[in-house]
Amino acid sequence: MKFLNRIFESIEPQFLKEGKYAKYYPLFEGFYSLCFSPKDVTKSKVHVRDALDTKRFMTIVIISLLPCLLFGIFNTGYQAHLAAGRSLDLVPVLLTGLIEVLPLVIISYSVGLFWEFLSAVIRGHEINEGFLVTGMLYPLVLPSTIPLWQAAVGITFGVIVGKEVFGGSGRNFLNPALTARAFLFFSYPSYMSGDVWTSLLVSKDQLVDGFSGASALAIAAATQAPQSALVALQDAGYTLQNLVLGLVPGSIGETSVLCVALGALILLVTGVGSWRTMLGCVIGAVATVSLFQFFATDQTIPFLNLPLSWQLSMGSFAFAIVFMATDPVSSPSLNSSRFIYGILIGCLGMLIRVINPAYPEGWMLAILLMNVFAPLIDHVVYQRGLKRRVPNVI
Amino acid sequence: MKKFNVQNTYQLPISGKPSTQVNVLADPDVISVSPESLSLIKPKLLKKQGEKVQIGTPLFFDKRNPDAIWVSPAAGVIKEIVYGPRRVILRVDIERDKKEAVVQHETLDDAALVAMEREALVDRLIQGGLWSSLMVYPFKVAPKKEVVPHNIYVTVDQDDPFLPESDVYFDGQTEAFLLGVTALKKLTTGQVFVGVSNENQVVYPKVSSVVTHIIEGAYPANDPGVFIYHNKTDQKDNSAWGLRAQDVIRLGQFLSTGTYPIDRIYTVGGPMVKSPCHVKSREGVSVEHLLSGFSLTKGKTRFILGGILTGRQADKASALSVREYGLNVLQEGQEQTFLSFMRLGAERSTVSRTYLGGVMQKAAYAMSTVVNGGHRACISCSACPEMCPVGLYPQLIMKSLHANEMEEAVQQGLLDCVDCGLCTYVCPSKIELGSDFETAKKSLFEALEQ
Repeated sequence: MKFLNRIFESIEPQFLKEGKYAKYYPLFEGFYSLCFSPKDVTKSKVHVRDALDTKRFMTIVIISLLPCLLFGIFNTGYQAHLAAGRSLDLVPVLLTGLIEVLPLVIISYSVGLFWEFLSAVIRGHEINEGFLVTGMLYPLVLPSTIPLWQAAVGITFGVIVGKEVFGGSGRNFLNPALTARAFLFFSYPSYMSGDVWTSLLVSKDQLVDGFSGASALAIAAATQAPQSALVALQDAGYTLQNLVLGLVPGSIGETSVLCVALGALILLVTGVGSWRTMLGCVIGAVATVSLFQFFATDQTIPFLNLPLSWQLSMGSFAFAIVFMATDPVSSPSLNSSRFIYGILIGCLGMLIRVINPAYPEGWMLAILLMNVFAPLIDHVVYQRGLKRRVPNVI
Repeated sequence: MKKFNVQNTYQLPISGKPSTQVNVLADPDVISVSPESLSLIKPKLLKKQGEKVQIGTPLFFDKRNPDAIWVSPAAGVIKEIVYGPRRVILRVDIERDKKEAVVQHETLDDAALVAMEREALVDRLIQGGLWSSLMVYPFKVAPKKEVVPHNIYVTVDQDDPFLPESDVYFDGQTEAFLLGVTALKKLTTGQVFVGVSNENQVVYPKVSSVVTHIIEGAYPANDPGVFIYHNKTDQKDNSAWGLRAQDVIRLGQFLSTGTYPIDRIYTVGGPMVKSPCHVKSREGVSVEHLLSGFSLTKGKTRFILGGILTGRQADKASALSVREYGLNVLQEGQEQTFLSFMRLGAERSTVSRTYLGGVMQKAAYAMSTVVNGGHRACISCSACPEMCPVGLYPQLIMKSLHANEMEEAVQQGLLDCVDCGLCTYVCPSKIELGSDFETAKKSLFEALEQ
């Protein structure tokens, strides 16, 4: 590795202030610090520093996303093979999954990084590792059926409008991955409505009998009173076990509650994800579902009466609260407001999912909306907190 | 006796903690005074090169506050005045006489002190050069003569990594400390609060007659600023005085002997020092002199005068100033590691649990001065408020300051900041929060002075 380091060191002068390629210093710094720990030493009165840097911080998030990615690859292949009536052996299923998912991940990273590099060079700021997470989150919340060009357009919008116009990572107020997805959702609704999210390997008339491809949410939302949403789901072949394991159609990475829980465990143990946000979301969602059940009668929509366990394991609830809501930049800054923020996301997401027929799922919109409100929550909580201090003003 | 617990404190797990053994050093030939190290003063020299001085002869004062006088800690001839860029006075070197002459003031005992007028005491302290060691919060500068503090706060213990321990500097100095406290009581119309750490078993019984508070918590719980923050109930205490026990002891020594106290207890510590311990020497010794008798680990070193999280970087020729009680030696930089962020990191010290070292929480790591990452924008990870002993939100204050909203920053409690450096230490984006706050406070101070 000394050899590699020597190469970096020999070209470094060209990227420094007086160098020929000074403009591209962010690029150089990005690659150099990716390979080797920076050699900078402290200059201020604080002579030692904690070992944690943003690179490690984001690496932990990526590691916690790996179970979801791997399972997502498997499940994409599994659903496609199930629909086409092909062999369900592990290797062919994984191969199909890889063919479907890998291009999306590659597109997300390459297109996103291009914009990230470009804006870093134009603005002269360092490349923030936050994008490594965004680039991984984004494909995981897409259906595998999405055309690649749409994925590229989406991540372009997410990075530029969701982040760079506000000054890059750390200064954005919306979650870039969700901004990208919201853009696709409103621009190309036919691909994102949740009706058919399974990659079709054969033409429609060759599919196995009885295949509908409808996601659990679509079924639950379409059920008419006085039928029961639970019965409708069970008739369509959904079981609670399937939903928890994630062997159901849905966005690539968000179907398995189990894998998300594994990721959540990593985030919580390392302290990278805010437990307050996650707990707040769960409390909000549980409270809202309980309220629904309280008001549910024969005349109300059947979705209201769906049991809590089903509500929490369906759709993207788990993935959204663990990976999307906890994004520190777009969350409020104060611990106590993170709790409030979580509760509001939980309530709002459940409301949109169940009550609003226009949207199949509520978490993306709930989180984006609360991202917008995060500074306000912070402001109110902070001002209250400041009142408790003995003022030290001149 | 009140007890309070300081939340959000942190004992830096760094190796090289000085033992309580005290090495006695011979006096050096040259004693230096370093005006440059004293923050927020504009020094004006009273002596020229080649002039003779005695121990206690006024050497320079603060142009903004002529009552803040610093006196010579040695007797002899001023050998050299070292200037830095823009004629900053870096050092005044005094070549010591064999037999040092002393400026003698009247001696005082407890009864005489109690009977003394406040005015007379103030004048005595100003002439003796001890007035400048008093500190007015929030800017930590010497008080003006006419100012009567609302309250005075004294902390007995020192929890910085690494500065002398109270057990050592209180040895034989209890009388001086108590006399110093009596003097402080004369200076204020309010109270003199004395705080002692709850872990202190040795000194507490000796000074229990004046102790008012028991302080719980690791670094920087025993900082006078933290003490003020936790005890204040109204705004008047914002401009209280805060003192460390060592300065109170010096006050007592001066009043009882009538001469400027030059003896000092230092620590020499840090990961690079083999068998670190306390050192008995005198004020104004150089780094080089202080290190005689110690052997260092081979490698590039950094000398830090003062605490590892608060001190000033220095070279071997620098001298410890009147406010610096410790020398810490750290390894400068570190060998670069390949794919550093992918490692388990059992040998790395972190407050978080992102590396194995952070999970294991060993007592001591051999830290170096490496930054451990590149500078990035704040990602609102909320690590800094969890390290702030005075309940601030450093990241929000930093954002106010970057938006040039000084007033907002002050409202958010900027002036409560005690410069402990923990927010800077913990920041994963490696933002210099501490220096930002210090610069802001400095410009605020200068605006107020004009």
